[in-house]
Amino acid sequence: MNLQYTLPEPERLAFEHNHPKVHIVYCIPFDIGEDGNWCGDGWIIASETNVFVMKNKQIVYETDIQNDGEFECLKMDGCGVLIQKNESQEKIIARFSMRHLSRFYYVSRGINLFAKNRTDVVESNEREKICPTCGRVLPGTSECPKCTGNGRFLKRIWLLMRPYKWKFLMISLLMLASSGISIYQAQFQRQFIDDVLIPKSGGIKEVLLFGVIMLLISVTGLLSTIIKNRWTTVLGSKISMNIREKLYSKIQALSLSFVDKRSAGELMNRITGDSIHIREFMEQVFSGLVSQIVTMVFVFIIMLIINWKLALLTLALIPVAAFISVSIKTRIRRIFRRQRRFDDISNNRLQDTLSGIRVVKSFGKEEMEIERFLKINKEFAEIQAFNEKFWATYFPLITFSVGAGVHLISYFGGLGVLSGTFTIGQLTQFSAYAGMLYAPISRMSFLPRMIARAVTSVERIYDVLDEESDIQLEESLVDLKISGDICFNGVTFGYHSYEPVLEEINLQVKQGEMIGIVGSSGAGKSTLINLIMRLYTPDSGDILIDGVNLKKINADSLYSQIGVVLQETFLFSGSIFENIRFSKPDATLEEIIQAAKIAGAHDFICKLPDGYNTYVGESGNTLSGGERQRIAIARAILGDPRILILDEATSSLDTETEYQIQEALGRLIKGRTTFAIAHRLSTLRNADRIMVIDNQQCAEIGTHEELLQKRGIYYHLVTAQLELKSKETKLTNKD
Amino acid sequence: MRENVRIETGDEAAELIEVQKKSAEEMLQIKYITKQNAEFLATSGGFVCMKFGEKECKRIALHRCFPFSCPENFISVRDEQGNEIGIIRSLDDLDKKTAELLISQMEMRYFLPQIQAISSIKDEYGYSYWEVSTDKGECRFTCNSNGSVIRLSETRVIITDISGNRYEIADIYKLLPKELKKLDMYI
Repeated sequence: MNLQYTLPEPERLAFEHNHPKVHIVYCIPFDIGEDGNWCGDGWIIASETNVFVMKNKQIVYETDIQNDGEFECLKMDGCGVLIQKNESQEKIIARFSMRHLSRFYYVSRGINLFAKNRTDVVESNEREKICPTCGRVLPGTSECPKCTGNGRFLKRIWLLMRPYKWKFLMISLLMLASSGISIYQAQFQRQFIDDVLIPKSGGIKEVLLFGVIMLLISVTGLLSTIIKNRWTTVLGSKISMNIREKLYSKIQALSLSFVDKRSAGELMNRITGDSIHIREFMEQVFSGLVSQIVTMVFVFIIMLIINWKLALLTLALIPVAAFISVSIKTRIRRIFRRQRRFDDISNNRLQDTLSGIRVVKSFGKEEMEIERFLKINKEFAEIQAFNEKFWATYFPLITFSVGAGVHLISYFGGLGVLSGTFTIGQLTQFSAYAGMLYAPISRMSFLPRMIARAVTSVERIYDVLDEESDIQLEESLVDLKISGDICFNGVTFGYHSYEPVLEEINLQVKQGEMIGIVGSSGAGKSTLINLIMRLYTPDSGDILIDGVNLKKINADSLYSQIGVVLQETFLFSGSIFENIRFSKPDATLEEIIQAAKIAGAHDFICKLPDGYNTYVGESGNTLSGGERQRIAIARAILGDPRILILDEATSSLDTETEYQIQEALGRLIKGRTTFAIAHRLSTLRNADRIMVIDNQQCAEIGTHEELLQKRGIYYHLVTAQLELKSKETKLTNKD
Repeated sequence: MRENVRIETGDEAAELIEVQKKSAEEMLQIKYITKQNAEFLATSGGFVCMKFGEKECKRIALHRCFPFSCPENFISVRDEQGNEIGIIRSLDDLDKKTAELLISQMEMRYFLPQIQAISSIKDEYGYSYWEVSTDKGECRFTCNSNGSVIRLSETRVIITDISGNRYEIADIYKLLPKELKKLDMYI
């Protein structure tokens, strides 16, 4: 995201005239003026010492970063304001639409850093949504596919095609051969008409021979078409498989911060949708286009040779036919789009009422719902009827307009035959060629759309493939036999650089220690353990394991020694055995049983009819929450991890099950460095130390007793929970 | 360890619970703000501060409860932390000057351009590019072709662009027929 716009020339001159020596660090536009209307001439300009507000080429406000107070970006409804605040007042500096909201978040944070005498410049890795050059939407990529030009597209598509270049060549040759055959067919037909039929110079033998040869030609054409279609389909699926493979492994390799920026749906779309677009492009446009263009050129040359005037007339009619065909198709697309939208609306309504049928019935509102549905249904039916009528009328018109040229040829050709300048055979051949010239027009009207789609897809595919993982793969990675000392040195991290979730975290954890982490939701507890798991890298500061920087530890070595149990247990579709073995694929059966025993899962697994081979997953055996959780615990400990992470591992269970699992965990954590997040404080009774995260920082840390004596946040949490519990007991006793 | 805690808790815990009970009760009440019980003042920085009984707030935020159907009534007044101070049932409950001050403050808070005319809507590969004139001036914006236009009622339409800006057409039947036809594809 651009935080350093270039000022337009008049603005730049005006600014430099007043402040010749100012070095501009941030420069961003604001688009709402003081009168509340859109404006196009507002700029916020910041140097390391001052902030300037420029409006209508004049500096209307100037402020000192050090002395006049800190900046804040406030989100309003549909807009945002930048304010500057100190003890005495809060002042509105600028107002802007949502388009610039995150820009202002970043810049206000950047300016506040200068106020703290820091010189680092905030950068944003968020993507722009609109191409600054052409104004089109960027399809989630860093560069605009339209503006980068076709050269890059061709280069990239060539890269995707290169492994299959010989296959493509073969297919192209085959296509040329099949068009050659159809060109020859018309030629042969002409000879037969002119040489045999007209002069009546042959007998049954000639006619039979003609029939057999025509049949042979047709069969050859048929065979080549079949082979070509089979080859293109196979090739197409291979190419899209290849793209999917590349994308999938790249996405797996990228760190979570890349995945976080995009929804799972969007990534799935890239893996499936975009690879299909490329396949279609290769299959239809590339292979089809080449042979069609070549065929058209040859056909036209032969037509010129036979009768150049008539050939030019045929050519002149192409744009007319293309125009009619394209305009009708555009209209058809428009009206059917509207129909699809209405279809969606009526489907949504139907789904709403059906899935909410309990609510509808229990409030007795069936009549109202029926009425609402009937209304939409009627409108939909009207649109549908109109569209189908339109389609029924105009689609034959397309076919007609494309073929109409042939009638003109028949007319002029017929005149030629009568006057003797044209033979009947030539007329037949000419008409056949004209048909071949016109036939692709209707198909070619889809070309621009298909090419544009392929360009976008290629851009989006390479956007992923070119992404560099922000967890750098340094060459000096070490395989570490972890013993479990962990140290946080001034760690700061935020999912957006303008909004730190954790700030300046310092923490020393000794080998084998259990750290309980508490704090309100959204305080950054899970973020802290995400950093330990190296799903994200800190913006500043370091995390050390046994004195070695986390960044420098080989990923395989790291992950094989960390065990994780999360609140939401995720089991893959497969057997219990496979699910436990996930963390250590080479584990022996004994090891798996041992892990299940420690996790307290062995007993219930044995009682299942299929034992460890029980299929779990979406349609498989439904295990209870506690049972699933125990399998997850077995999975976590199978690799004998040195570091154990429990993120609300037992919070979704009932008290009794939780107690049992706590017991299992109690056995487990001995000798391992453990981080446990919990809302229920009783869960943390085994913790050596408890850390309270509040306000992005480690607010309190110490043993249970120490923190109680401190009478701070933790003390309040404990008392509140105990009171609540004693109330519950009173209530149950009353019952 | 548990017993330990029990010794520690006592009057203070009871006090804490009492405070929470009180705030829970307060949450349920609707407190109406009128010219008798409240005083609003414009700050030099462009915001509004308020005195309400003993409470003082340096910067209030005004939230319309019914921004579309009833924008001048039931306005929730909140403090810097977002806690509700009270509700203004109607701006008529305040003196005229104060009402004007609050209206201008709400105009700053809410930015929802009203589309008055549509010059063009172009559709290209999944996105629609709009050129419209609004009560805030001419503007262009871009939407996803699907799902960006929501019909709140028979006449009212809200359009959300890809940046999250929203635009309102209060009555689509007030548009010219040719403009409505352009819009037709999206509603």
